Amino acid sequence: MQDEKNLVHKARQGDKEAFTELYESHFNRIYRYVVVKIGNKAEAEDMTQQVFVRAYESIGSYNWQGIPFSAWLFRIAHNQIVDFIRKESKKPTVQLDESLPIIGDSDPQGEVELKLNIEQVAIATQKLTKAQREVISLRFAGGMSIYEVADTMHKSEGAIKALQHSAILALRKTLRAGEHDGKI
Amino acid sequence: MGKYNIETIFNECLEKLLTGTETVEQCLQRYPNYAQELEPLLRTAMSVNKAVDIAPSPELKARVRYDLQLKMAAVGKPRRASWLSLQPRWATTMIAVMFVFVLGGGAVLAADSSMPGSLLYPIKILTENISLKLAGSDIEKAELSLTFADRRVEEMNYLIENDKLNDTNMESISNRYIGYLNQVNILSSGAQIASEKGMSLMQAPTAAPVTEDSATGATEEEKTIPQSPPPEITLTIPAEEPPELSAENRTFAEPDELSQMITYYVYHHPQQLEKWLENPNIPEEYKLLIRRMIQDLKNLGRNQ
Repeated sequence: MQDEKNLVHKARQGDKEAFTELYESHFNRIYRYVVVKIGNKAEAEDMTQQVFVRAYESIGSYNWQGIPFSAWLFRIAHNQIVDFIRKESKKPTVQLDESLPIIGDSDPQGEVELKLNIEQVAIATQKLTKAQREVISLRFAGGMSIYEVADTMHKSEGAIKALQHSAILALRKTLRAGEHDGKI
Repeated sequence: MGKYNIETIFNECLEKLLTGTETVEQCLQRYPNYAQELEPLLRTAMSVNKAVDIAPSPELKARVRYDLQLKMAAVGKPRRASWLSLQPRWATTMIAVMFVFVLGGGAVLAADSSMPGSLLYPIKILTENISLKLAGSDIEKAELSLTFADRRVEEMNYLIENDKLNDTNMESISNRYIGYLNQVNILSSGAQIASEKGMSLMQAPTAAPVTEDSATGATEEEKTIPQSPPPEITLTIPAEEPPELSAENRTFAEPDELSQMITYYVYHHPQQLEKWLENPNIPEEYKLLIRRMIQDLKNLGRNQ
């Protein structure tokens, strides 16, 4: 495997194999990120495909000195998701609470891990703030480090850590609320 | 201890959990005074992490990979005009068939590198024909024709280098190459597009030395391109009986044979085709993709 910076340089010159290697490296992370953000695997497939097509079209404008390549890819994905959500907002939406799982009475102290799937995570994160949701998506689905998330979101590492903690706290409460409301 | 501290401890423990250097239990043992507050958060975080740890299907990866290769092959370098977005799912489906059926979705650049004589080659040719048929404008058709002409040059070079060139494949490839160039001449009046992709015209393996006509500006090569009609690039419905359908019939001697077989059965014996697809020897992924391909063919037929 070549160094990513070298691959990007070659891809910018039109080296197809170099771009294919970049695709292989980042595809899974981008796909998971998109699924978590929109909660629909079928739509996520098309959108992930489009992310890489767009990336190839515009890689000539990518500047290595600015942000990491992965962050640049996630930004493309984020922009596409924003467009998608804008279009989808005109359609009828699913009642979130109806789809919430999650915590059962058998685990009042939170001593076992929850059995969630990615769609349920997507639904639960819709009750977070935008920043919290972005941190969860990048950190867990995108597999980014705190440093990378901070770089991508233009925030300090301390701010990202605070958002990560508050997001998990909020997710826990959301899932609890679902239990008390009899939604599960 | 305040909010700041539990937040710090949570983030520190989570980092260790995500990197696999510690378990939840080990973290709780290190911070027994915060275990009750910490455990639900860590469990929730790890549940989320586990839930999102999904992998896209091999079919999806193969499809996207091929779309990228199509695009890269078409535009050469980034930021060139694209024709990929104009293509239907048909081309994608065909290549996904190639990956899943023949290679199981694992081969990188397999489609681009398929050469005459290989199992993939007929599908490559068929995909090109369909793409040309469905191209929206004359300019797009001309650009595609140039791209495909370049591929014939690569194939000829490959056959020469590997000592596989014979009268049959040379004639077949040459005819296709010349046909594509004629197509470009017809579509673009031999001017604008040809000048943009001049290298393609000059890379013909059998091209005569290029000299410029001082009066017309046309090269000797351009003037010597045979003006015979290009090869058929439309979808034709075979009138004669194609090869018998069977699960074992996985190779096609001629590039157009697969096209002829599928289109024949779609238009003349769709039920037989459906029955064939019920054969348990055919992989499920292949069946799914073939069905999508059939649907695309039907849609194409309705639009013609």
